[in-house]
Amino acid sequence: MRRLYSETSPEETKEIDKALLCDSELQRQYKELVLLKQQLDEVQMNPSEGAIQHILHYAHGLQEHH
Amino acid sequence: MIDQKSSDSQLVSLYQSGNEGAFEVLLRRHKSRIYTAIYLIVKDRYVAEDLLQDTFIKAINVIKSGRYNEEGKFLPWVSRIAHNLAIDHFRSCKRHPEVVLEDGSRVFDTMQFSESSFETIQLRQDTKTRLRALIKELPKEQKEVLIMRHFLQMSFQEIADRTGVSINTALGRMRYALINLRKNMTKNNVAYDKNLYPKRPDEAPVLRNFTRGDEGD
Repeated sequence: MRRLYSETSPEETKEIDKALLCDSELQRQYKELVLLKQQLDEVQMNPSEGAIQHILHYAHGLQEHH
Repeated sequence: MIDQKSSDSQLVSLYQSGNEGAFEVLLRRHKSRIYTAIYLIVKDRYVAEDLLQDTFIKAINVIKSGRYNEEGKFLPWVSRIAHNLAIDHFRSCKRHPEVVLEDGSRVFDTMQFSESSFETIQLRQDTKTRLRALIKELPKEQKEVLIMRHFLQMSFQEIADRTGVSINTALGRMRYALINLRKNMTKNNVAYDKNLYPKRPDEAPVLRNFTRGDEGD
Protein backbone atom coordinates (compact mmCIF):
# COMPACT_ATOMS: atom_id res chain seq x y z
CA MET A 1 0.00 0.00 0.00
CA ARG A 2 2.78 2.42 0.93
CA ARG A 3 4.61 1.66 -2.33
CA LEU A 4 1.40 2.22 -4.27
CA TYR A 5 1.08 5.70 -2.80
CA SER A 6 4.80 6.51 -3.01
CA GLU A 7 5.32 6.62 0.73
CA THR A 8 8.31 4.28 0.80
CA SER A 9 11.91 5.37 1.25
CA PRO A 10 14.24 4.90 -1.75
CA GLU A 11 15.67 1.80 -0.06
CA GLU A 12 12.24 0.31 0.60
CA THR A 13 11.16 1.10 -2.97
CA LYS A 14 14.23 -0.69 -4.30
CA GLU A 15 13.54 -3.74 -2.12
CA ILE A 16 9.87 -3.93 -3.06
CA ASP A 17 10.62 -3.48 -6.76
CA LYS A 18 13.18 -6.26 -6.53
CA ALA A 19 10.59 -8.52 -4.90
CA LEU A 20 8.06 -7.63 -7.61
CA LEU A 21 10.52 -8.61 -10.32
CA CYS A 22 11.16 -11.98 -8.71
CA ASP A 23 7.56 -12.87 -7.91
CA SER A 24 5.14 -12.87 -10.84
CA GLU A 25 2.11 -13.42 -8.60
CA LEU A 26 3.05 -10.46 -6.43
CA GLN A 27 3.61 -8.44 -9.59
CA ARG A 28 0.15 -9.35 -10.86
CA GLN A 29 -1.48 -8.31 -7.57
CA TYR A 30 0.43 -5.04 -7.61
CA LYS A 31 -0.60 -4.32 -11.21
CA GLU A 32 -4.23 -4.84 -10.24
CA LEU A 33 -3.86 -2.28 -7.48
CA VAL A 34 -2.16 0.20 -9.84
CA LEU A 35 -5.02 -0.16 -12.32
CA LEU A 36 -7.59 0.28 -9.59
CA LYS A 37 -5.80 3.40 -8.37
CA GLN A 38 -5.99 4.80 -11.91
CA GLN A 39 -9.70 4.06 -12.02
CA LEU A 40 -10.19 5.86 -8.72
CA ASP A 41 -8.60 8.94 -10.28
CA GLU A 42 -11.19 8.77 -13.02
CA VAL A 43 -14.16 8.91 -10.67
CA GLN A 44 -13.29 12.44 -9.65
CA MET A 45 -16.16 14.86 -10.01
CA ASN A 46 -16.13 18.55 -10.80
CA PRO A 47 -18.05 21.11 -8.80
CA SER A 48 -20.14 23.57 -10.80
CA GLU A 49 -18.44 26.63 -12.23
CA GLY A 50 -20.89 28.67 -10.15
CA ALA A 51 -19.40 27.29 -6.95
CA ILE A 52 -15.88 28.09 -8.17
CA GLN A 53 -16.89 31.63 -9.13
CA HIS A 54 -18.47 32.11 -5.71
CA ILE A 55 -15.15 31.26 -4.04
CA LEU A 56 -13.21 33.47 -6.45
CA HIS A 57 -15.56 36.39 -5.81
CA TYR A 58 -14.99 35.97 -2.11
CA ALA A 59 -11.22 35.86 -2.62
CA HIS A 60 -11.45 38.94 -4.84
CA GLY A 61 -13.54 40.86 -2.31
CA LEU A 62 -11.13 40.08 0.47
CA GLN A 63 -8.17 41.06 -1.69
CA GLU A 64 -9.64 44.52 -2.21
CA HIS A 65 -9.86 45.06 1.54
CA HIS A 66 -6.18 44.29 2.05
CA MET B 1 1.24 35.75 -15.73
CA ILE B 2 1.37 32.72 -13.43
CA ASP B 3 3.33 29.61 -14.22
CA GLN B 4 0.82 26.74 -14.00
CA LYS B 5 3.68 24.51 -12.84
CA SER B 6 4.33 26.63 -9.75
CA SER B 7 4.25 24.64 -6.52
CA ASP B 8 1.41 25.08 -4.06
CA SER B 9 3.72 26.82 -1.66
CA GLN B 10 4.83 29.31 -4.34
CA LEU B 11 1.20 29.99 -5.21
CA VAL B 12 0.26 30.58 -1.56
CA SER B 13 3.15 33.04 -1.24
CA LEU B 14 2.08 34.83 -4.41
CA TYR B 15 -1.49 35.04 -3.15
CA GLN B 16 -0.32 36.37 0.22
CA SER B 17 1.56 39.10 -1.61
CA GLY B 18 -1.56 40.15 -3.50
CA ASN B 19 -1.58 38.01 -6.64
CA GLU B 20 -5.17 36.93 -6.92
CA GLY B 21 -4.58 34.75 -9.96
CA ALA B 22 -2.37 32.52 -7.86
CA PHE B 23 -5.31 31.56 -5.70
CA GLU B 24 -7.38 30.68 -8.76
CA VAL B 25 -4.64 28.30 -9.94
CA LEU B 26 -4.58 26.66 -6.50
CA LEU B 27 -8.35 26.34 -6.43
CA ARG B 28 -8.64 24.87 -9.92
CA ARG B 29 -5.74 22.49 -9.24
CA HIS B 30 -7.36 20.89 -6.18
CA LYS B 31 -11.11 21.48 -6.55
CA SER B 32 -12.05 18.10 -8.09
CA ARG B 33 -10.12 15.98 -5.63
CA ILE B 34 -11.50 17.82 -2.61
CA TYR B 35 -15.03 18.06 -4.01
CA THR B 36 -15.07 14.30 -4.74
CA ALA B 37 -13.85 13.48 -1.22
CA ILE B 38 -16.52 15.68 0.35
CA TYR B 39 -19.19 14.23 -1.93
CA LEU B 40 -18.27 10.65 -1.01
CA ILE B 41 -18.75 11.54 2.65
CA VAL B 42 -21.92 13.64 2.50
CA LYS B 43 -23.45 11.90 -0.58
CA ASP B 44 -25.17 15.04 -1.82
CA ARG B 45 -23.84 17.15 -4.71
CA TYR B 46 -25.33 20.40 -3.46
CA VAL B 47 -24.12 20.00 0.10
CA ALA B 48 -20.70 18.99 -1.27
CA GLU B 49 -20.55 22.24 -3.26
CA ASP B 50 -21.52 24.26 -0.20
CA LEU B 51 -18.86 22.55 1.88
CA LEU B 52 -16.27 23.01 -0.86
CA GLN B 53 -17.02 26.73 -0.78
CA ASP B 54 -16.83 26.79 3.03
CA THR B 55 -13.51 24.94 2.87
CA PHE B 56 -11.86 27.41 0.52
CA ILE B 57 -13.39 30.44 2.19
CA LYS B 58 -11.93 29.24 5.47
CA ALA B 59 -8.57 28.73 3.75
CA ILE B 60 -8.72 32.24 2.23
CA ASN B 61 -9.46 33.79 5.64
CA VAL B 62 -6.54 32.02 7.26
CA ILE B 63 -4.09 32.84 4.46
CA LYS B 64 -5.11 36.49 4.20
CA SER B 65 -4.98 37.02 7.96
CA GLY B 66 -1.38 35.81 7.97
CA ARG B 67 -2.16 32.76 10.11
CA TYR B 68 -1.24 30.21 7.44
CA ASN B 69 1.70 28.14 8.57
CA GLU B 70 1.77 24.71 7.05
CA GLU B 71 5.40 24.68 5.91
CA GLY B 72 4.40 24.58 2.29
CA LYS B 73 1.88 21.77 2.59
CA PHE B 74 -1.25 23.39 1.27
CA LEU B 75 -3.16 20.31 0.10
CA PRO B 76 -2.97 18.28 3.35
CA TRP B 77 -4.00 21.40 5.24
CA VAL B 78 -6.97 22.27 3.04
CA SER B 79 -7.89 18.56 2.97
CA ARG B 80 -8.10 18.53 6.75
CA ILE B 81 -10.44 21.53 6.68
CA ALA B 82 -12.63 19.79 4.09
CA HIS B 83 -12.63 16.51 5.98
CA ASN B 84 -13.59 18.18 9.26
CA LEU B 85 -16.44 20.11 7.63
CA ALA B 86 -17.72 17.02 5.82
CA ILE B 87 -17.60 14.87 8.95
CA ASP B 88 -19.36 17.57 11.00
CA HIS B 89 -22.07 17.75 8.36
CA PHE B 90 -22.37 13.97 8.16
CA ARG B 91 -22.83 13.76 11.92
CA SER B 92 -25.46 16.49 11.98
CA CYS B 93 -27.31 14.76 9.12
CA LYS B 94 -27.46 11.56 11.10
CA ARG B 95 -29.54 13.51 13.56
CA HIS B 96 -31.65 15.11 10.79
CA PRO B 97 -31.70 12.66 7.87
CA GLU B 98 -32.65 13.81 4.37
CA VAL B 99 -33.58 11.59 1.41
CA VAL B 100 -30.86 11.60 -1.25
CA LEU B 101 -30.84 9.43 -4.37
CA GLU B 102 -28.05 7.13 -5.44
CA ASP B 103 -26.56 9.68 -7.85
CA GLY B 104 -26.28 12.31 -5.13
CA SER B 105 -29.33 14.34 -6.12
CA ARG B 106 -32.31 14.99 -3.91
CA VAL B 107 -35.80 13.62 -4.41
CA PHE B 108 -37.10 17.13 -4.96
CA ASP B 109 -34.81 17.67 -7.99
CA THR B 110 -36.15 14.58 -9.73
CA MET B 111 -39.70 15.67 -9.11
CA GLN B 112 -39.01 19.15 -10.38
CA PHE B 113 -37.13 18.04 -13.50
CA SER B 114 -38.92 14.81 -14.32
CA GLU B 115 -38.47 15.42 -18.08
CA SER B 116 -34.76 14.82 -17.67
CA SER B 117 -35.28 11.22 -16.60
CA PHE B 118 -33.55 9.89 -19.73
CA GLU B 119 -30.50 11.86 -18.82
CA THR B 120 -30.73 10.54 -15.29
CA ILE B 121 -30.92 6.97 -16.55
CA GLN B 122 -27.85 7.56 -18.71
CA LEU B 123 -26.06 9.01 -15.76
CA ARG B 124 -26.84 5.97 -13.68
CA GLN B 125 -25.38 3.75 -16.39
CA ASP B 126 -22.20 5.70 -16.35
CA THR B 127 -19.29 3.65 -15.11
CA LYS B 128 -17.87 6.41 -13.01
CA THR B 129 -21.18 6.87 -11.28
CA ARG B 130 -21.33 3.16 -10.56
CA LEU B 131 -17.80 3.13 -9.24
CA ARG B 132 -18.61 6.05 -6.96
CA ALA B 133 -21.64 4.14 -5.74
CA LEU B 134 -19.42 1.16 -4.95
CA ILE B 135 -17.07 3.37 -2.96
CA LYS B 136 -20.02 4.65 -0.97
CA GLU B 137 -21.03 1.08 -0.18
CA LEU B 138 -17.69 0.17 1.40
CA PRO B 139 -17.59 -0.45 5.16
CA LYS B 140 -17.27 2.85 7.02
CA GLU B 141 -13.66 2.46 8.21
CA GLN B 142 -12.43 1.31 4.79
CA LYS B 143 -14.22 4.09 2.95
CA GLU B 144 -12.83 6.64 5.38
CA VAL B 145 -9.21 5.58 4.78
CA LEU B 146 -9.75 5.37 1.01
CA ILE B 147 -11.14 8.91 0.86
CA MET B 148 -8.46 10.31 3.16
CA ARG B 149 -5.57 8.65 1.32
CA HIS B 150 -6.67 8.72 -2.29
CA PHE B 151 -8.72 11.88 -2.60
CA LEU B 152 -7.51 14.03 0.28
CA GLN B 153 -3.94 12.77 -0.16
CA MET B 154 -3.19 12.40 3.52
CA SER B 155 -0.30 10.10 4.40
CA PHE B 156 -1.03 6.77 6.10
CA GLN B 157 0.65 8.07 9.24
CA GLU B 158 -1.58 11.13 9.28
CA ILE B 159 -4.67 8.98 8.71
CA ALA B 160 -3.60 6.75 11.59
CA ASP B 161 -3.16 9.77 13.86
CA ARG B 162 -6.49 11.32 12.87
CA THR B 163 -8.50 8.13 13.20
CA GLY B 164 -6.77 6.92 16.37
CA VAL B 165 -5.46 3.63 15.00
CA SER B 166 -2.00 2.22 14.28
CA ILE B 167 -0.45 2.76 10.87
CA ASN B 168 -0.71 -0.99 10.22
CA THR B 169 -4.45 -0.84 10.84
CA ALA B 170 -4.77 2.12 8.47
CA LEU B 171 -2.76 0.23 5.82
CA GLY B 172 -4.86 -2.91 6.35
CA ARG B 173 -8.10 -0.95 5.98
CA MET B 174 -6.88 0.60 2.75
CA ARG B 175 -5.91 -2.81 1.43
CA TYR B 176 -9.32 -4.27 2.24
CA ALA B 177 -11.00 -1.21 0.76
CA LEU B 178 -9.27 -1.79 -2.57
CA ILE B 179 -9.84 -5.55 -2.46
CA ASN B 180 -13.54 -5.13 -1.69
CA LEU B 181 -13.89 -2.47 -4.34
CA ARG B 182 -12.32 -4.78 -6.89
CA LYS B 183 -14.61 -7.66 -5.90
CA ASN B 184 -17.70 -5.48 -6.13
CA MET B 185 -16.58 -4.07 -9.48
CA THR B 186 -16.37 -7.62 -10.83
CA LYS B 187 -19.76 -8.45 -9.40
CA ASN B 188 -21.25 -5.31 -10.98
CA ASN B 189 -19.39 -5.57 -14.30
CA VAL B 190 -17.56 -2.32 -13.78
CA ALA B 191 -14.04 -3.72 -14.10
CA TYR B 192 -13.80 -4.20 -17.84
CA ASP B 193 -15.61 -1.10 -18.98
CA LYS B 194 -13.78 0.20 -22.07
CA ASN B 195 -14.26 3.78 -20.92
CA LEU B 196 -11.93 3.06 -18.07
CA TYR B 197 -9.28 1.43 -20.25
CA PRO B 198 -9.29 3.55 -23.40
CA LYS B 199 -5.62 3.15 -24.20
CA ARG B 200 -4.51 -0.20 -22.87
CA PRO B 201 -7.41 -2.68 -22.93
CA ASP B 202 -4.94 -5.56 -23.01
CA GLU B 203 -3.80 -4.60 -19.54
CA ALA B 204 -7.11 -5.31 -17.87
CA PRO B 205 -6.12 -7.31 -14.82
CA VAL B 206 -6.83 -10.96 -14.25
CA LEU B 207 -9.21 -11.21 -11.35
CA ARG B 208 -8.36 -13.26 -8.35
CA ASN B 209 -9.67 -13.98 -4.90
CA PHE B 210 -8.06 -12.34 -1.93
CA THR B 211 -8.44 -14.09 1.35
CA ARG B 212 -8.90 -12.30 4.63
CA GLY B 213 -5.48 -13.33 5.84
CA ASP B 214 -3.85 -11.71 2.82
CA GLU B 215 -2.44 -8.76 4.75
CA GLY B 216 0.60 -6.56 4.69
CA ASP B 217 1.63 -3.31 3.09
